[in-house]
Order: sequence, then C-alpha cells, then structure tokens
Amino acid sequence: MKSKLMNKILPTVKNPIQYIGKELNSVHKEIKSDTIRYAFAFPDIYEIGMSHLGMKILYHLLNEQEDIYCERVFAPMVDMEEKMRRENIPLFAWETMDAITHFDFIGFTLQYEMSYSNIINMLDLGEVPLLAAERTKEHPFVMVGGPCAYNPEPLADFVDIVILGEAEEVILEVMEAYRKWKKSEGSRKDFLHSIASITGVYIPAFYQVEYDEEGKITSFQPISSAYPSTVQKRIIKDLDKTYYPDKVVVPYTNIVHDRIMLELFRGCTRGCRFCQAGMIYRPVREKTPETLKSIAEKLVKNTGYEDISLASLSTSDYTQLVPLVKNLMEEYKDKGVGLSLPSLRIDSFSIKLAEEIQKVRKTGLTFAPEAGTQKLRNVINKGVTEENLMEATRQAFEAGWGTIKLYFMIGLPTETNEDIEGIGDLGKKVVQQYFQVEKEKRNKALRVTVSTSSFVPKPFTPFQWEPQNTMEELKEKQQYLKNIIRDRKISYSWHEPKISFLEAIFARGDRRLGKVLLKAWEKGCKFDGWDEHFKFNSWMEAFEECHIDPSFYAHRKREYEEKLPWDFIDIGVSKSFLIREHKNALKERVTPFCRENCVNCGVENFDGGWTCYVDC
Amino acid sequence: MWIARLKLIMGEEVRYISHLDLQRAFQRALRRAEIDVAYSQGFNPHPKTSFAMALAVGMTSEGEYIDVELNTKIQPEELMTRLNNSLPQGLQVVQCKLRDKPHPSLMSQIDKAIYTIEILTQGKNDYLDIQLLIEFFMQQDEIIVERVNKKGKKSSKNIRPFIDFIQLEEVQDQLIILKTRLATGSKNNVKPENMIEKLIAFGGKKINYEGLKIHRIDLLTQEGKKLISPIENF
Repeated sequence: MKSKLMNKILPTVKNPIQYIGKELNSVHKEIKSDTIRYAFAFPDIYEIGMSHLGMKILYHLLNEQEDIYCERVFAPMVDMEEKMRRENIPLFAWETMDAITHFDFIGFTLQYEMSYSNIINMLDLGEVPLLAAERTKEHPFVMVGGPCAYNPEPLADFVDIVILGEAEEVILEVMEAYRKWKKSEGSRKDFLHSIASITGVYIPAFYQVEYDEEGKITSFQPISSAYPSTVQKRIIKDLDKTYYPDKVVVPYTNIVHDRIMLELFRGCTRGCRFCQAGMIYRPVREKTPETLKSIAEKLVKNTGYEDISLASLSTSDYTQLVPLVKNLMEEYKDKGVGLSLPSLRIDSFSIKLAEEIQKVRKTGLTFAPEAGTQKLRNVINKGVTEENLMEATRQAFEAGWGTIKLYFMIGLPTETNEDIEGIGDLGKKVVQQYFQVEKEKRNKALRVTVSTSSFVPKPFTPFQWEPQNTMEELKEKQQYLKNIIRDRKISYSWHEPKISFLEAIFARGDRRLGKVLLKAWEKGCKFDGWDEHFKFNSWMEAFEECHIDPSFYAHRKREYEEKLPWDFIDIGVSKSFLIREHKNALKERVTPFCRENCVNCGVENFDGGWTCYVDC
Repeated sequence: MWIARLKLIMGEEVRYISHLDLQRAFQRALRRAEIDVAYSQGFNPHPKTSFAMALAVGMTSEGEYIDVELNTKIQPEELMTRLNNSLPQGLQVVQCKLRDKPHPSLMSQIDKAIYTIEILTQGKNDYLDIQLLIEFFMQQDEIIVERVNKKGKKSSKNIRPFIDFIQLEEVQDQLIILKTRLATGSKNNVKPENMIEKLIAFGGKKINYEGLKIHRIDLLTQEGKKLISPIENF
C-alpha cells in the first residue's frame, strides 16, 4: 500500500507533500505488541488541521508516553480521496501510512459543526463501522473532544467516547484504563464502563433520551445509576505545570497558521453574550511570563519558525503583556523572528503594542466591533464604543497602516435596520478618519474590509435560547448592507446564510440529527464548510426524508424551562447566570468584565472550589 | 560578506516538496542551526539563500546546490555538521565550501543535469528491445516537444540537440532504468519527464508505462570543454 501511494497516487494529486508525514519533529516509533495506537484525527484537510493548537499539544503529550504511539490523520483532499477509493486504499495515519481501522483509538477534534459530515466520511474511508453500536472488539474506539463536544448529541450514534473540557489529564487517565482493560480480556462495554465515571468523560451509549410529540426532550437519563447524571468538564488548574510541547511538527507546505503558537492564557474575562468560547473555557488561567519565555526559546530553537503568535481569546487582556512583548522583541529581533497578536482589543493600548511589534513584520489590522450601534453592542456585552474604534483607527492610520478589517455579526437578538445601517456608518467613519490624518503620515493605499458573519446561537451562551434569523432575513440584511456600502474604498464580504443555518441546526441539535447526518453523507455531503463543496439541497432532502424539521432546531425560540440537549453537561458557569445574562441583554444592560467586578458566573464554585485570580 | 556553497541530497521523504517549500524548510533549518546568516531587508526579512535549479515535484536528487550568505565566517565542516543536525528527514548536506568574494550566481552557472530514470511498467520488458528503441530514438534529427505558455499560446521546440545521451542501465521485470544527460539551465532546458514521454510515445506499445521515478544525480557547469560540478571551482 505504501509504495502504491508513494509511486502511483501521490504523483497525480494536488500538493502531495501534505500526505507524507515525515515533517520535522513528527514522531516515528517502533510498534511493539503493547503499543497503544492512537490516531488523532482532524476532520478537515491538512492545511487547516495542522494549524490547530490542541492537536499539537495532545500529539506530543501522547507520544511522550512510551507505550503510546499517536499519529495524525486528516481528511484527504477531494482528488486524493477519489484516487484512494478507486485504488482501495483505506484512510491511513500520516506517520506510518497504516490503515486507521487497526488502531486502538481514533480521536476527532470538533472545531466546527460543519465538519461533522467529514467525520462520517473519514470513518467510512477508514473502514470503521459508522455506528458505535456496530463496532466490535476488532475496531478502534472513536473518541471526540473540542469545543463542539459541549453539545455532542448530534454525533451520539457515531462516537464511543466524548471528552469534555481540557484533555491533557483526562486522556492519560483513559489510556491508563485502556492498558488495564487490554490485559483483562473484557468486552468493549467493559472498557467504556470503566471510564464512564472519570470526570470529563461522557459515554453517549450509556444515556437514553425521551421526547414529547413536539420533539422536545422530556427526559435524559443514564441507563444505570452507575453513571453520573451530570457530566462535569475537565479543567487544568495550573497552566504553568501542565504539559506544553517544546517542539511541534513543522510542515513543509503552507498551512493556515504557520508559526509558533504561544498560549498566554485560557478563558476570557470579557463575557460577550454570543461567544461560546468565552463561557466554556472559563475560568481564566494565565501562564507566567517566565514559563512563556522558556517555552518560546525552546520552540524557536526546535522549529526555526520566523513568527511567534501570542495566542489566547483576547491577547490584550494578558496581565503581563507589555513586559512579555518587550522581552520577546528584545530576544528575537536580531534572529529574524517576529511577533504577532491575533486577537487585539479596540483601544489605543493595543495599537501602540501592535505598532511596536510590527517593526519586524507588518500585517493588516483587524478589529471586531461585532455590532453597528451602541445599543446592540450593549445587548451583546461587547465593551467597545465608537470612540474606541475611531481613536484606534486614527492611531493605526497615523502609524502607517492602510489595511483595516472590521468584523461584524448580523442577525443578533433585538437587531433592527438601524443596527445594520450602523455597520455601514462605522465603515464610512473609518474611511473619514483616514482622510483626516496628514497625508505624509498615512499609508498611500486605503483598504477597509467590512465582513459580516451571521449570528448562530450556541450552547452554553446567554443567547442559547434565541432563534436564528431565517435565511431569507439574513439575505435581506446582507443585501441591505450591500446597498448602503457604496464607497469604493470599502469592500464587503459576508457568510453564506445556508451554511450558518446548518451550523445553527447542529450547534443546538439532539441525537435525532444522527440519522440526518448519515443520510446527508450518503447523498455525498462532505466539506460542508467549503462553499464549493457544500450541497445545501442534499441536506434539505436528508431532513425531509428523515421527517425532521430543521427550523425546529434553528429558528425556534426556546423557553428557559425547556430541557436542552446539553443540559446534562456542567461547564462550571451556571444556567442561572446564563439566564440572568440573557435577561440583561434584552434590557440592553451591560455586565462588567470579570476583572472589574465578579459577576458570580458560577465557576468559582466549580471543581472543589476554584479561586479566580480576579478578586471575587 | 561570506558565501557558503552547499551540495544537498533530497531523498524519498521530500520527494514531493515544492521548490518554495524547500526554500522555506532550508531557511528554517539555518535558524535552528543558529547560523549567522545575512537577512534580506524589508517587512518580511528572510535569510539570503539562492538555489541552483528548482527540482520538480516528485523527483529525488543527490546533486542540489545552494548558496547562503553569511555575516560571519564559519568552518565549512562545522556549518555542515550543524545544518545536518537541523535538517528534516530526507535533506542532507554532503559538501560545503566557503569564500569571501562574490561569485557568479549559481543559477547562471548550470548547463547540464544528469538523471537516472526508473520507468515502472506493467508486464515484462526485453533488454535488447529497449536498447534498440533508445538507439532509434536517438537517431532522430528532431524530437519535437509542444509547450503551452501561461497565456495559452502554443510553441514547439526540437529537444534532440539538448539530449547528450541516454544509457540503458538495467531492465528488470517491471522496471527499466535509464541514465541521461540533458541541457539544463536558463539557456537551454530539457525536462526529463518530457524526454521520457517522447521516448515512450516513440516506442508505441513497447513500453507499457505505469509510472516514473526520476532522480537527479548532479548538476554540471560547462568550463571550457569540461563539465564540472558547480562546487568544484568555487
């Protein structure tokens, strides 16, 4: 198989180097009889999967264990898949090119809902039975984790194990249980039983759901009292002591984020009401600058990368940012290594910082006001004002930036035409700001990009009860905005409403969506996040044939009393807090950020009493 | 200013790397090896390196050449060792020379390339048959290769004058191994895969072609009547 791949197939496909698996720092191990073979699978192509930080961490963490060999798996590109199917080559793991069906585990990371059909496709291509119930002792255990695992229900039929929360510790506990089970000659179910009570582990097969005539959930229960009725997510308490790789795989081919990712902290102090990451990753935990400096040093040495990205949900909120940046700049400026700050706040402080950093490399600036009017920004709790944006852009133009991107959302709760107009106005004001800056100072070319995504209500956010706009409403709003933005200096880009619709269905879906997913895949759906592959009509046919109304999931306002499919998961943030926040949103009432004032989100009572470093 | 000229091997593991990716991989290796390389100016500074001739995707080689500009002097042996400890699987430096004066650019020096070509076939091949095929092929006055440029305009070129020789090295059950020397560089350039396509087409059904493996043995510079490696007179 390997030589067929190398000599016959790879010469004929796009970008073949992505499939070789011999990149710098990739791990190659001898496989012994007791080796646990783990395939870390990313349900999208290499270029995207290789940019994912979680994969980097877990790949190297698992490979640090002597008896575990973790390899990487990605979705082959469409041309490659065609050839693999024609030549009967099953989906293989990158390092050894062995078929994944012989592995002990296949672990998928769930980064976005639109990759679900790829998971089915990859299992099929890997010759693994699609349904968990159909797998035997000969087959791997299919595991999932990542942000979308916080509502794993649409995938319940396909997966054996769900990991909730940060996996660094819990995955090793699962592996330990697996070692014991392997010696015991027990059944598949025995193994699942042995891990079902580990905090952060959820076994969908051990739970059953009942619905009423309308389709709402009436009960969600474990099949035996041996299993917990609430599954708590896992958190890592001390990020300074937790595992972080000091080397990472350096791809040959270009990937989306081809740089060192230095993770400054987890969680977010901000509390935007649409943001799932801001809720599920609580509490905020920082790494010390000393830890970060030492990681950066090793990573530069071991990768040769020319860029360090300071990664987090809101980098300007890192308490030690200034000294850290100064130190890293000083250390690396002569070595041709630059810094980048991917998630900046809209304020002067951030611009000054960006200016400082861009002395090495200069890229565009991106701001996310999210909404066009102050009213709506209050609704979503985005603590940014028009003055902030104007001041920040003025400084940016003065410092010589010419390319500015502005991110917004449309379809937010309470949104009116005025809010849409506000987006256009902000774009115009940014252009005006540019012309007010002295000619000598400003960049010769101005390019403002206004980009809107469509609001998708996500589980565990204050907006989880909110309906999504219909596709027609979203289209109308996009058209309206298109008509407002007539300035040639501003370009407008938007998300396909059909994709956002499907995202909303699966984000808040339940188990019954499993059969729709299967049906859609049978109709050829895969790579749904890619406009050119997305087959919306096939999806709609699948819903119809399964007698499931997609609007039930996307467009329905849910009541606080309704049992939500993900209610059995405890993320630390309490439901009462989410309700309080939802009510505040509708009253346009702003909630202070954690650092200003503790708002009792519930996480301080989590996991045996967490003490937020922010005074409560 | 110091210039190091390196000879590099590219093995199976990097057979499918593109030229741009190779440049980047090499620059990163220089950084990992903590070599004091000169950087380009501008917004995206990168180490100053220049390659002799891009190797096409899918080929392996034991004769690639790279010039690297250095700020400080370093012993060639040390440079070689440090780089080899930093290069990914499949890439290896096998020769290194250093000089302190500018030298004609690598790219302008290359005139010829020698390749071995493995033709994977279905079914058996007869040695004499293939030998004769090559002889007849080389007796042609014209071997015309059609090309289409980026604008879609067609042109044709006679590559026969630029094929020095084709030697039949080995014939096995499902494998034919050839060695060939072709004009390469900015003046005249023959792609080995084009030459083979023509050979196979010329043979009609004689070669039941299934795939190719091309390996570059060396790049050569014309010096007077002699052909030498670009690192020899560096």
